Amino acid sequence: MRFEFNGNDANVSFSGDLTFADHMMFREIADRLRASTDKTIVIDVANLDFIDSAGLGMLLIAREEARKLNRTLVLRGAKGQVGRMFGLTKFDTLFSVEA
Amino acid sequence: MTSTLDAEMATAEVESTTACWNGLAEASLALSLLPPATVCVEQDLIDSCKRWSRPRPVCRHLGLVLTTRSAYRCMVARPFVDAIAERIDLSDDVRERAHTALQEAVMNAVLHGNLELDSALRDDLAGMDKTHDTIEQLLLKPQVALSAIRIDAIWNAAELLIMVRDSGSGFDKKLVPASEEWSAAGHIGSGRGFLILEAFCDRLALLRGGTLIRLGFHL
Repeated sequence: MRFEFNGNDANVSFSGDLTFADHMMFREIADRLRASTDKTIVIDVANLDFIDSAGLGMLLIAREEARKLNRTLVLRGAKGQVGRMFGLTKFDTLFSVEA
Repeated sequence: MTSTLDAEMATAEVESTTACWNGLAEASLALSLLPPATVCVEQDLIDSCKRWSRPRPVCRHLGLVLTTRSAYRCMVARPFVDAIAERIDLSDDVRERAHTALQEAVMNAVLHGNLELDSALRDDLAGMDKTHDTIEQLLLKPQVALSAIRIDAIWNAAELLIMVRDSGSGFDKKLVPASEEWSAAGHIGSGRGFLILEAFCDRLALLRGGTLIRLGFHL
């Protein structure tokens, strides 16, 4: 997976594949998101091509971390296989999901 | 349920073209799986792969034998499904579902099969870190790192079957959380992989005490 922060530490874009193998990268991202002070954290997944159950688990962990800090985590732009996985696991009931 | 494809596989002739993979990267795996290879064996398992051998169809079959170490470090599902698509026409839908389901089955074979880890340990950041540290420690042991995982695909005009077999001791299917249990709002724990397998396969079977997962897709 590749990631890019968009101007501040509360807005990050993912691209490529988010899988079990990306835990180190996800750890770095989670630490930066936690260090931000914005009320809303946005993860843009519009360019994410593939996600597995471990990747979904990482997003759920990020949600829990945001909740502990009284922040809202928004997932933006899911499509293709990623959108299908979000739908299957009812992510729209767990996150704020934006098109 | 036994399908026509299962019966064909049981009576097929033995013939295979074996290729070798260095176990290092997805790109080299993709090259090793190119036709006419029918079986690809990771370099470190060449000597021991005979015990994994069994009769295979002359064609309509692709196999991959790899180590736990490589299955953990390289994402093998995509190149394997791409290699199947080199041999038969797969719709975008089947290709996406097969890739997703195979990824889950392989990670299940690695984590719960050969490494015997509990996915509930990965429910938070600290647990995720600890799990990956544990995996790296386990992979320092040759008997663990080199334990085998075998992936086989067979197909005919109507169906594609992909089997993933690990070297673990299996598990009790009753311990896998039901879909509705996992789907309870806010639940993070284990069972997500099986929810995905059930949803993305046209048929799914856990065989040999949970050491073999068979994924079926209508073509």
